Amino acid sequence: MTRLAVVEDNPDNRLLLQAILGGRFEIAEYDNGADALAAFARARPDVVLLDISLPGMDGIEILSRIRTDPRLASLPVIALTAHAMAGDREKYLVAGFDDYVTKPIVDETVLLRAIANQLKSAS
Amino acid sequence: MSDGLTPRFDPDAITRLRRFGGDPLLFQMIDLLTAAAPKRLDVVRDALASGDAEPARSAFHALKSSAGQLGAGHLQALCEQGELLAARGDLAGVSALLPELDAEHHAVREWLAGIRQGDE
Repeated sequence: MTRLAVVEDNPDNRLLLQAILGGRFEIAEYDNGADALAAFARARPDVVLLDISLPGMDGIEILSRIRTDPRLASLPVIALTAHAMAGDREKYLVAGFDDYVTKPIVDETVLLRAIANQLKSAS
Repeated sequence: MSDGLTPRFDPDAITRLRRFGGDPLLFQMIDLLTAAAPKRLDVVRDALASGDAEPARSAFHALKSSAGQLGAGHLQALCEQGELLAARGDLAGVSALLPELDAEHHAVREWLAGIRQGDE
């Protein structure tokens, strides 16, 4: 089963993602970047959903550490964020994210398509 | 209505959560918001007292996300406003926003309690 890592500090968002994705993927949840990075070093997930606004190490810094780690550099990472300003998508793609999905999640097919695209690119 | 575009209480969001996970998911989401929201607002008040805007920004951001997922459009909009004010370090602006935020928080709790009791 495809392994998905969700890095998100809000328990309600984790619950929602589990409800939408849990039947389709094996999901590992992390509420902070340090725990996520430590787990990725032990077992690399297939795709990461990464919240931007996390306490302590934010999503941009976590992504930077992933991209500079030779074992993880090619890991597909989708930004998951409540920031929805004009130009955000481009900003996050330039930062090195592979895709960008906004919260609240209104249409789950957008999220599922983003994950499917990353799995297709990686295969 | 909060801004002419976003409903104050959006029944479509409730329908959507039921589609994702039925009443168990919806009720858990309601319980998480009603438990967390007072704590988030306490963080904002503490931030005002200490003069440190960052915890307030973070609390607003989290509450904005929770409110948005449950369709509490006006609370979401107020939290977004608070987040932007706090990000600019405008604690006077945050303080001025609090009465409306408290009132909307109270209204959202009543709305969600009604949904929890099947009173829709």
